[in-house]
Amino acid sequence: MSLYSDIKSNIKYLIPLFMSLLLSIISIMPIMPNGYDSIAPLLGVVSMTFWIVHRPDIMGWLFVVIIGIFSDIIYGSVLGSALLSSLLIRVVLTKMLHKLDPVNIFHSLFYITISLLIWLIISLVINSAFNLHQINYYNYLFQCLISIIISPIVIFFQLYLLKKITS
Amino acid sequence: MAGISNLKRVQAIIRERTSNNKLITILSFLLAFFILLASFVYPNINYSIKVKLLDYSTSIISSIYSPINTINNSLRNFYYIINVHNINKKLVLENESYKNISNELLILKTKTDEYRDLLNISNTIKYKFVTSKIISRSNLSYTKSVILMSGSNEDINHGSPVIFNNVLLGYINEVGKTSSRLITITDGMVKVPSIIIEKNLKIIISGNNDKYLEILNPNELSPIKEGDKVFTSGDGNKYPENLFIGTIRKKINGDIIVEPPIDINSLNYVYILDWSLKSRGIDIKADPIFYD
Repeated sequence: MSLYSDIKSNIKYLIPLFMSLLLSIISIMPIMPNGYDSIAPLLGVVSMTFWIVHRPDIMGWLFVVIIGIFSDIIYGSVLGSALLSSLLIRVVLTKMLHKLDPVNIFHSLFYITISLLIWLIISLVINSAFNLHQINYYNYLFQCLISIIISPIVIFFQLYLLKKITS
Repeated sequence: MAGISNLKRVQAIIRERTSNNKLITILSFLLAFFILLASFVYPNINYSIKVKLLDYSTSIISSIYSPINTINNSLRNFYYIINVHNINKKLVLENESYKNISNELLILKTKTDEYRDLLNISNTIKYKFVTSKIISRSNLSYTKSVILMSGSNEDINHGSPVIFNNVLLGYINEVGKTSSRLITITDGMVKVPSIIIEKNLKIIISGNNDKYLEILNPNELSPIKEGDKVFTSGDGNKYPENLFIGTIRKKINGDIIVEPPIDINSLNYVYILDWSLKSRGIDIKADPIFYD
């Protein structure tokens, strides 16, 4: 097998990484109506969770680290906070996968909720380290809820990609 | 969904393969803790990494932002077209009142200039600015910042105040070569020394990662009333004085907050001020707290 055909046959395994990075960027785009910008869905987290649940072999540690660092850079958060959240999400989800088989959308939604909670709690804790007084908890809550509500769109789109990758 | 259930067996095998990577797990977490710790202990190193990578990502972010922003703006314009009659009615009324204010301001300006000449007061500082394009939105609940399409190539400095029509929006937090990050005044980490000019009352305004700003010295709030205008005081030299910050509002529970006049997400361009000592004509050694 030549190098070219080797790359060609394996390039599809980069789709989960690129999808998660692309959706992370879309999260900071003007996708929300005026006045609701601060609770835009965390599409990158939803996408990463989807791939960890369905194909943990592809969404490995390296990809999770890349997504974490990239998220920190584009979101402007403390470098390492999104990375820590991403790693924690992967650890928690891979532990849970043995107990509950991820087949239907409800399981996926459950895993996504867990991931969003981990992500937002870590962000909240690190933000609290800087600023103990001024935290609006409602924004965290609503961002989590909006992300859960929007996530079926991301799930169905990525199920299509999953089929393409696995076929 | 049927196709997905067929994958169950494949998934189970895959999961078995990926679950026993304890060493990689530990190493990944050590890396995360190391980077996080370095953010606090060696902020300069992490800052350089962030800025470099942000520069590389800018072109991708910008190319995605443009079409999405065009669609968003088109939708907003569509709303304006539908409501053009009502909006026009409101604007005509506003315009009438502004005409009266404009005449009063002209008289006031002439008088102020006369007093300045009589008292021999030196001219106020005039600053240069760079107009910069916004290429991201402040969409997160835990941080309020946007990416700008200008960097050190256009003489942008770390800490430069960012304004729009004399309204303070925030300051430059990260500067790359071709891009920079504006941290807005609504971010929880930003504090602005301010003044309510009509009452000569100095207050400190802080963001709380929400649309509104909070006042940090609430013991001195008794003379404040709803509708009072808050401006930058210029204390600390981080921001120029007399930039508009917002209007005092009262919440239903009685809490006093400040409402900024502009939502950063409704803007496409901002002005980055050249607030360096040199550009302001200051050649003496300044307070190291702010200029180190």
